[in-house]
Amino acid sequence: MRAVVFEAPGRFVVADVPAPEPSAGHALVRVEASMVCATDRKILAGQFAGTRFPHIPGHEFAGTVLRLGPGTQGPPTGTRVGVEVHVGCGVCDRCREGLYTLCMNYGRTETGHAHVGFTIAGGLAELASVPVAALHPLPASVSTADGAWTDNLGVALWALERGRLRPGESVVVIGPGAIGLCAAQLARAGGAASVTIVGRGERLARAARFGDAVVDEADAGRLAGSADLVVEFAGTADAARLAISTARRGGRVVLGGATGQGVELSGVDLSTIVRGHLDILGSVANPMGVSGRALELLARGGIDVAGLTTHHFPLDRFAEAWATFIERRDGAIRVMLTP
Amino acid sequence: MEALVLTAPHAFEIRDVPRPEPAPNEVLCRVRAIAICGTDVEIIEGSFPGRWPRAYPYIPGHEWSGDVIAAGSIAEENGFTVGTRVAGTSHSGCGLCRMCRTGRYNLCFNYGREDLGHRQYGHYSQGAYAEYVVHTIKAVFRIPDDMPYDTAALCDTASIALHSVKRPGIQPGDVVASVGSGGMGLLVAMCAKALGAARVVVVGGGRRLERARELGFETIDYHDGDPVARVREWSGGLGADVAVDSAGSRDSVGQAIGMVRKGGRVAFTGIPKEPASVNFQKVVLEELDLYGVRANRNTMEEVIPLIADGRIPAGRLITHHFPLREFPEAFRTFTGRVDGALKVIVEP
Repeated sequence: MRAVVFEAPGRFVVADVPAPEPSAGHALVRVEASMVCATDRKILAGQFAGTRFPHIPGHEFAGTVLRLGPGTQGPPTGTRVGVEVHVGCGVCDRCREGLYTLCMNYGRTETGHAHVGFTIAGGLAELASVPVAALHPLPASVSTADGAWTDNLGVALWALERGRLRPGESVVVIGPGAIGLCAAQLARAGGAASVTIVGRGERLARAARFGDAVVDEADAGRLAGSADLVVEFAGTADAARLAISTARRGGRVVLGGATGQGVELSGVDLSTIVRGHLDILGSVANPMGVSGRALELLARGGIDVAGLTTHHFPLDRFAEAWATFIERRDGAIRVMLTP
Repeated sequence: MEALVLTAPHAFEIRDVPRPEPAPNEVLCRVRAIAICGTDVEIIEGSFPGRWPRAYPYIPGHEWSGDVIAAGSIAEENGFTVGTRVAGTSHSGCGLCRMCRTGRYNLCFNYGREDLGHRQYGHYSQGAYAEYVVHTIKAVFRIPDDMPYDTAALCDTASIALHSVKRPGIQPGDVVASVGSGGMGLLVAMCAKALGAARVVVVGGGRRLERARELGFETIDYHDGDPVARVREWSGGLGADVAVDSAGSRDSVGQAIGMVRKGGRVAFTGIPKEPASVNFQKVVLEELDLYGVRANRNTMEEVIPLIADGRIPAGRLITHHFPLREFPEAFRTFTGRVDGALKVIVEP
């Protein structure tokens, strides 16, 4: 089968590789839509400790179940499925709380843990062997291409649930990338009265239709102290500082962008948090099967992920897709590859 | 001023009464629209003797909107100046007791103590079926300039519906059953959608259920077989994540419990008239969460922007308008569900 292979740090090819065989607990999925994420860049750079080269990346994808591994119960052959990336061991304290995204056996595939596209081969390939626990059958009205957003939507929805979004609230989303714009739309679907998106450049211009208002980060000081809930998916210290200063007293701030190490938060007057009675909440990934509920919302309508899929390429043109995404050519948000 | 005055159970008339005066923390409002509520009917029929109302003569009415025409000094300092457009609600707590201080003023420990500042307008305190009404500023809420008065009169009911879905909690993507196809049942369905429910089914009967269909909701008619089995089937055999009972009948309470999945949540917002026998083994073994819902608290502010931008299209429930003088006709239309009457607006 054809697959993108990260051969060594900084080096990739599209190559013919042996097709995977689904082991017990896995399903063989024919990948029909697969996207690239900023985290793939860290994987390619060799910054992701759990990844071994050569590696087939890809963790935002959807397709059709071809067959199940031996003795495996799961969605029958022919089921269209979207994939969420974290599968826990199911045994540790975090897994038993439903927070399998924080599995204490991370990386130990022998315990059943898998991080699809990170610690095991992913979906930038014609076929992928995926643990059935990571599969969400797609509602009939959700296209397979939109199904590739299963993981992203779950990440965005979980951030809002961390932030205990309430109806009628004003929400500010900082970072108009893929997850930020999913969060903006889901906040409205969840009853927010107004959603303001903060960012800059071409991405911000594109964001206008996904919220009620857009504000350039240069002018964002005027939002200080205004929001019931602030959700940050930009990943910089500046964005985190802005998020904290944007919340009203007694408000909530969800920080979701800086998933990699090395971003340090300084320059925050602690009284802003203490006297401001703020809840500052870190949020990563999508536990609790939240992606399944996100797909039900997608099926209901009113959430546009196709509009966030800015570019399409066949898998063999991965190099071009990669450059388009990394360089944000033409305001790229997500590029989709079709094997 | 003209007002609807109850003189005894089942007996009412439109008569001239003195216009009330606002205290420092109160506003005097010109009432523009009042919606008839199921509870109004009970109050008019005398179903809560000695309680709602405590005595006759009495002016009922608690779902209303209008304009501030005079404001006490404290009201004015809080921005309720003459000309402010407002929607009213019924509960105004004492502000002092533990329930009030924890935000649950609908459960005020000093319920009924007008001397301590408690009010429940249209239940035991003077209501809004009149040209003018006085409310504390705890029970009036600013509405947008472009919200029609008749729609604004539904803010109170809609805020109860919102409280009814917030008590059990709607997680985005949830599957929800609204038991009861009256105004409250349909508003519950709308609120569940506005909070991100993926699918909502309205369980009820008659012309009102047809209206639920016209509003785009899936429906289950309780005349077409066991509604519990039908809801389970509708939800793929699993049961709903959340059920909200607004019917408040002996049957509906148990049905709502029967409809939810393991670990599901059930809220009860209709006031039941008699004890109900329910399957408590299911509650225990399936670890259900049951929520009583008494009217509303802190949801007027939340529901108004959602009505204003159309995500809770409350105005679509209005089927009839009558001037206050034609209250008897309005009352007949509402109670007889004439022409599929749902929300009937009275304009003083």
